[in-house]
Amino acid sequence: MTRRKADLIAGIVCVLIASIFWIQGSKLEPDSNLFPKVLEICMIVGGFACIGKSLLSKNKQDDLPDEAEKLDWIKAIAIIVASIIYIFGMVYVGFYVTTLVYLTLGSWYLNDEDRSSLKAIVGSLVFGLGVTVVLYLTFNVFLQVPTPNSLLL
Amino acid sequence: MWENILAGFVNSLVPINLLLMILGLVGGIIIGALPGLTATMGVALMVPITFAMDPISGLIMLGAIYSGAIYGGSNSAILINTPGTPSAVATTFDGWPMTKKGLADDALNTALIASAFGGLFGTLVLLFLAAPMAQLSLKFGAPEFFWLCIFGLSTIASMSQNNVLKGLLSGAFGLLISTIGLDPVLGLPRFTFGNYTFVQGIEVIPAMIGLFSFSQVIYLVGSKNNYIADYKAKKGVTSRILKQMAKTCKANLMRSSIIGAIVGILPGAGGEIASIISYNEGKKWDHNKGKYGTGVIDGVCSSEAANNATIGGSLIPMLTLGIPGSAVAAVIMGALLAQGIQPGFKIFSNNGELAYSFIVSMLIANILMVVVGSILIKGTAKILNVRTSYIGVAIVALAIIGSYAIRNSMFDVAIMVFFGLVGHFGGRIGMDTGAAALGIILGPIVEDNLSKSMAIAGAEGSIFTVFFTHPISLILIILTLISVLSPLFLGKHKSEKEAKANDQA
Repeated sequence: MTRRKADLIAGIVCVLIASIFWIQGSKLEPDSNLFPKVLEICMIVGGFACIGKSLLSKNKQDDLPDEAEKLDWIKAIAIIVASIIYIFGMVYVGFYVTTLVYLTLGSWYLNDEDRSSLKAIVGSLVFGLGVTVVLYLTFNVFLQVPTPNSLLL
Repeated sequence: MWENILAGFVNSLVPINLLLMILGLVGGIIIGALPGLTATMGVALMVPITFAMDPISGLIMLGAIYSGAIYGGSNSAILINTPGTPSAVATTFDGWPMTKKGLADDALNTALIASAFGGLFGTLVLLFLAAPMAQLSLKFGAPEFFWLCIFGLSTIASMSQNNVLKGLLSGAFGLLISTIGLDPVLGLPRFTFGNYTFVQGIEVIPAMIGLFSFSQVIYLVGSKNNYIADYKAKKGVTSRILKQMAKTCKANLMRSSIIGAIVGILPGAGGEIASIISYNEGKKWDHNKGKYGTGVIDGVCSSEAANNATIGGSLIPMLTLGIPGSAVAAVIMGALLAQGIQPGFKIFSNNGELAYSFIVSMLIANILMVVVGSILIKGTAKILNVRTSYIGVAIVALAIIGSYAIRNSMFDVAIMVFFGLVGHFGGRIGMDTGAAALGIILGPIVEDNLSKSMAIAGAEGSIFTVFFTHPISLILIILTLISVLSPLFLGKHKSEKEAKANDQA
């Protein structure tokens, strides 16, 4: 992404967020809204400055530094979607059971090796099972840290 | 006093107490390294166990857990760009770039040595300067706290030198997010977007886990690299780093430790503020400011020495005034009260042996931490040799436990995912994750003290008198101005110098 485009998006997003908070806070008592209002004004002014900077920029091809390393978007979206399903799953099924499924399937899918190979399948299964057992022993048995539980463990 | 100090050494060096110290350090380091599990949680979990022990042994163990957990936060900050505790946020600024450069060993050992040094310094301050430091802490009112946080926020200007505007916008975004929930003035719900769940506000830790951890997972699994970084274990790193730090980081270590100890004594201000201020000061005082943020030991050293120095500082108001300087100090105070020991200045006369044994044990624990930590580093660094496909999903599972454990709330898990997406996609448009985290951490303290100061100003009839005439406030205002303006002037000076050099060439 070019720096110019990034500035434009960042500016618009900041103005939008500040405007949403501004509207939400319109009915607040002045004392409650003093600090947020100062921040909203700063974000709106800064957001417009970002938009202005982008529109006035002469260098149209200047890329952001981290853009050099392209992301595999299929994998990135897969982990986001899988994590959201995992979170919903643990609400209905239970943390440790969904964790076992998530770790096994997640590590198997994200692996660059031949996914159909026995080594990849067994490797992911052993990893999923091993980490789930360690998590269970650490957090449930030893530290007794609460985890989201439901029908199953 | 000296008799009690001597008795403290004798008590601390009893084999069973040494063993408890080592166990406490190991447990603390592991808890600190796990994102979401804080030093407070680690100490609180162990308090019931200490009831069965002799009070001195129990306190020795709690002190070791506290020291270990604050240092442990640096491990995950360095290895996976995820601060294990909020006080390790500034460690990511240079620790993670060092890992990417294949210098994870150097970064981990720097964090270990700096933490031990900071911890020792803070404990020595606690041992010898408790009374005057406690007096100083009483001079900090709401206006001074407000300016201290503004000084902390001024770090954003030097942190995001490549794009100060976006850094400031990210910081403002973090501050605005921190206003969700009950407002500190009237206690009314604010920015709930019609959803009652938002009344509980945005908890710092899930937001931070999201910003640093979940966003990092998306990057890791989507990256072309199969491993986080190239890593090969090297021999003799601890002694090499020790020599290097003794040669080049002496002033940095001292400055950072002093900042940590002073910030630590202020109730409510902890390692997170100390490490941020210290990082900023380290950068400001360095001849080569540009190297900060690129992966240098100086950055790790500033942050880690300061956050461990806050430990001794935070125990000063607890032991001398009965006012805990941090959440962990409050838990330790609870443990003391449960044993029938009343904190306050009389603790040094009524329970002198216990008080000095606790302080002296922390000196020994910080020295032991170098040994225990250097052994553990060999294991933790191996995480870099595990494929990202495994690391990524395991981090998500840990991030969920860490987010949920704070309030046993699935809302916090959702917050973690939301901030993960904000961190990742915000990063792609050049927004600064670190600045947003600073805003979320400091926001509630800034607003709370701003509101209190405004109320005082209302009663006194002058905003100017309250905000701009107190000596400590004035010092902090001057430091803030220097912090904000110096990068601009130095940047201009540098570009003029470069232009001159180009002309001559």
